Amino acid sequence: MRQFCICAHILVVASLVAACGPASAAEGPNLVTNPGFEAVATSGPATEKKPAAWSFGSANPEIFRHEIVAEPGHGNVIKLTALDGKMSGYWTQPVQLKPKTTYEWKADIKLDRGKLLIYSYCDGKDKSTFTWYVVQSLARHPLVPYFWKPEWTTESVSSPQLAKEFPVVHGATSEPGKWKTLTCHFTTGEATTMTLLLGAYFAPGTYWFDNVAVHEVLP
Amino acid sequence: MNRQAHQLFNRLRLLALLTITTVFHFACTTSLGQAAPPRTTSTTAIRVADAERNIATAYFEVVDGATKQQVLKAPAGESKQSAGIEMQCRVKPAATSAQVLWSTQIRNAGSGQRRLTLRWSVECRMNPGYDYWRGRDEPVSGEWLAFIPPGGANNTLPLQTLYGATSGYALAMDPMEIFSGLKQWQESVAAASPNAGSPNTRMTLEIPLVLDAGQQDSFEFALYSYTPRYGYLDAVQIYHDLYPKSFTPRTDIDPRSTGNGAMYLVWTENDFEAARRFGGDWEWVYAPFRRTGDIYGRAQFYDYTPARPFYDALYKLPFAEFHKERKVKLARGLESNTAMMFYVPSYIWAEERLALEKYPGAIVRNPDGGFAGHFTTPWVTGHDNEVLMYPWGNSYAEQTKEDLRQLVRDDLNIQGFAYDVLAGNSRHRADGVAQSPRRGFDETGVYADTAVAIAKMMDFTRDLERDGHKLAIVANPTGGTCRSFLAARTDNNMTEFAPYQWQDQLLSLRLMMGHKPLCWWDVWNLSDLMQWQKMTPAEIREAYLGARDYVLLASFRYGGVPAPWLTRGTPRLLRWLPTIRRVVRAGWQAVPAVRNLPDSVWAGRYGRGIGSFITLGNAGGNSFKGTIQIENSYLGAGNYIFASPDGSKLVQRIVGSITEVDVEIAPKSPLVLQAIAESPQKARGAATVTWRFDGAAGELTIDTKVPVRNVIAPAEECAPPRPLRKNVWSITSANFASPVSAIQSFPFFGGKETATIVLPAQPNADEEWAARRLQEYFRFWGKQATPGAKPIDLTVVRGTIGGAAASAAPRVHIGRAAPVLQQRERVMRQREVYLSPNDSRQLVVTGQTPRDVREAMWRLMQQLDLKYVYPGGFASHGRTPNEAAALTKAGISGKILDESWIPPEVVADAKAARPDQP
Repeated sequence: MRQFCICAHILVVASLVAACGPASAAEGPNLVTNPGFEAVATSGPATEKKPAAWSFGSANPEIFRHEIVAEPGHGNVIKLTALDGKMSGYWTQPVQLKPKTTYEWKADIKLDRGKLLIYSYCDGKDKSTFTWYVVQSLARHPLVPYFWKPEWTTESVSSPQLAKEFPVVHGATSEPGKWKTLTCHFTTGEATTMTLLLGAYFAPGTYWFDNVAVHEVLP
Repeated sequence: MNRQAHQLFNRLRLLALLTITTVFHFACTTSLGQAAPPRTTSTTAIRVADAERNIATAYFEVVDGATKQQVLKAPAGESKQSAGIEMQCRVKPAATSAQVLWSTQIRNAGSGQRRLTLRWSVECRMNPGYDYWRGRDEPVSGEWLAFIPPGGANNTLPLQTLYGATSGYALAMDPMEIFSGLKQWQESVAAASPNAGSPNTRMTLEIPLVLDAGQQDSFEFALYSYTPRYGYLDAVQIYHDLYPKSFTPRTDIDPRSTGNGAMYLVWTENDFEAARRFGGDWEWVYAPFRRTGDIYGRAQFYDYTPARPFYDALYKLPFAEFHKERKVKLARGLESNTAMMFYVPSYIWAEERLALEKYPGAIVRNPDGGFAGHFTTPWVTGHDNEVLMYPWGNSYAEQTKEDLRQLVRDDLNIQGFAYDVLAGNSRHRADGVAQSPRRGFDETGVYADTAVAIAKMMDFTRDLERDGHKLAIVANPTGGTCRSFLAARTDNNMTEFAPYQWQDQLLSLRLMMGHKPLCWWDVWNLSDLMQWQKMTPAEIREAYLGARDYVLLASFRYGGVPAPWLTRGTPRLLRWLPTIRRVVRAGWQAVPAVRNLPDSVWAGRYGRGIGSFITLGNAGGNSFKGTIQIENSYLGAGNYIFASPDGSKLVQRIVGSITEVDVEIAPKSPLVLQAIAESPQKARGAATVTWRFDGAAGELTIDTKVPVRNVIAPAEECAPPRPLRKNVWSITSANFASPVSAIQSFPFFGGKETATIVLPAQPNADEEWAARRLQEYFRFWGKQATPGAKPIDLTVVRGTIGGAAASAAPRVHIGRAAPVLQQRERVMRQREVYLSPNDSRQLVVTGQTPRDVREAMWRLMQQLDLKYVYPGGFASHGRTPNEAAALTKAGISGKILDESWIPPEVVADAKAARPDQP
């Protein structure tokens, strides 16, 4: 039920072709502002530094902690800590898109434990920009790393209904403390404003995000 | 105050505390012993000191449920009366000064019913960075403490602990205490003074309780301090040891009840030899009644129209035939040597029409009047629609209790009951609530949780007796929904998942069960955990092999025994199964007591003192070679010397209270060490242990200068070792007088004639059974072990064999057919299985009593299993169709997963035994 609270405003109108997978050969410019979190909004106490052009939202913001930290090979990254699993919380940014166009979003992610979600939606009646990519940490996976290869594992998407209704619903697992790049393709319908969200999905843990990108896939 | 002065102050404070606690013990006991009317009494507090001499103090508080006003709050040791509520305390003897055990008695002295919230709390001083563990999951600290849900403790242990680097406190309720609701939490409190010892942290346990006028109740509690060398597990270890009635298997039940489940091989499949080989100690007898809610099968309830047609042949029978057939099916346990656990759905489900017509007030309903639970799809029997019931304090409970009594009175082969859906968590407000203990209340009114009724029925069941044993309870409490007091009443946990599933529940369940066994009762179900569609067949097979290795190591880590669907087709697990069963029976311990291990090596500990097992599982991909440190103080009063499982040299040193052992463990493999000798606490020095044993006799060598005492044999079921010479003891089997290899070489078949089984002229039932089982053993192996093979039939004769046949055929003498031999071979008389020293074609299987003969045959077959291997077929299905598809894709469905684990000599023997087979 919880995931439907989040996406209740996403209306079901039509379906279209979309997929998560490797990036295409040609791509347009990155449409995300401050994609690497290098620009920091300096208002407020130093401990409350926020990435420029991004905003955070949750029904229970008090259970989240935010930091911008430097990571080797990444520069600044956003670090999100969920102290409790009773609510989800996301860094968001609206992105302007062209109708009936194929795009790809990408992001580097890392988590120690818990469950991370990147999803996108549009405010209109077009569900085409809906993508749902949930990543489960392998931190407490009983079989990884000693008995199974990480790539064998699967994160079954928690709601079969979600998978049934929306075009891009994907699950994955990730080794704790290792950066991983997620990639997702989608094709817009009539909508032109998509919101991209990166965050914690009802699970305590620490989550890192960097190098967020939305590109048009060029022919 | 300078440092010295502060230390002196703390010493004096501790001395004063111990003095007043002792005085108070007498005061409380005397007061209750004289049944004096309660009155406000100035006494002392329940307190313990930690290693740093900080003090933790317990309080008791009562809040009126209607007004939310505090009725009373006092140190937990006081007797007090306020606003019609009386509180008394009785302190009980404790093993150490670091523990206080007490009972809180509360009485409603008023004239009306009271709804009360009871709170026991402990206030103490914790240094920054402390951890809090709330009875399940992981401990939390720092700012995460603010986000622990304050409630939701129904499914935790009633134990919580605050601990730092060197000391900790635990507040625990007796695990048998029933409750309708439970909360546990911790919070900061304002320090009463700037004194460094002033409390700044509080942990609280809360229970709702309804008391009628004049009604009283009492609760058992413990407060203790401890050194958290293994974090909160030290608190759990003490808790498990404080309450052995809850956490140790009962000794007055059928001992098979704490073994391995048969997974329907007996009750449904009627395959006794498979059950014996894969572990059929007890059976989940599902579901031996036609109509849910009528577990006995009464004539007045028997004929009715079910919601769906009866599908099972048993259910289709007329009344008399049903009872006759059920009796026959239950008697299968006699033949298979399996304890039969009569299935009950914890009595919380009943067929809808039966419930509505006979027990309407026992139906659990929502506040709006609707059924709180209602199945209109197949559930308990498959053919009934069923509703949720409250089985205590009402006519339904009385009928069910009478059903239980009669099931046990009747000549039915039942050793215990299988409690399904052991959870509770539904609130009942009608018939039976007034008669129930530990009623709770909410905004709707007074209720009793269904777990309360289940617990009372479990108590009733546990007191029933049959054939000199109390009735056992095998149940399936989960780590997610079960109340701990239900797990406390469970003798064996039928764990309905493999140990790689539901990881968040596994440790919780393990801790709830204490030293008692778990049984991994499930199929593999890996397909939902892996991307089998994208994986190659070889990769899928590799994934199952990996899961097999995990199950092996997890069984030793968590004290679980894999049931048949996990051992079938996996020779490696099957080979380890006897060791797993032996170790798990010794009793899992919360603190592994082993240090100096990498993360990839998992430690476990079983039993106490001499005979304890230390288990190590190397999950890594490389051999582990190193020196482990076993902390002997956890095992017992002495220092301990350990033996390897196979007799290979084990080098060790006793250093202080630690035994350092040099070990090498192969990748993905377990190592099981056993404490086989004790030395005094102050002893220091090296020891090297080796042993050899042929199944009948052997030698144990403990090469050491350390004084050694209490030596036991490293092999199973041996007599106490006898000293042979310095540092050397002889080992003698209690059961076998001939080497196992010689017995395994006995020519049961393959020669000119197959062996003849010789019974006395007038055999008793146990001797007949032993002969039948040996016949069945070879029929089964001959038919099953090699594709296309034929049964091997051993002939049974009664009395002596005369003529030429007397010397021609190999013979197996059973029971009283053996005395003639025993007269000549006095040396063998004390043991049960042996070959005649004068004629290796004469095998004797006997015993002092008929029961001994059965057990001797059982042991013989177990030894023969090592030669006549039958791994069975690997799984062919799972809970979803994907599992079957994955198994098929990998080419392992119904095959042997890991044939390489069958010893080559066994394969060669099997081929040699039947050269006509491909």
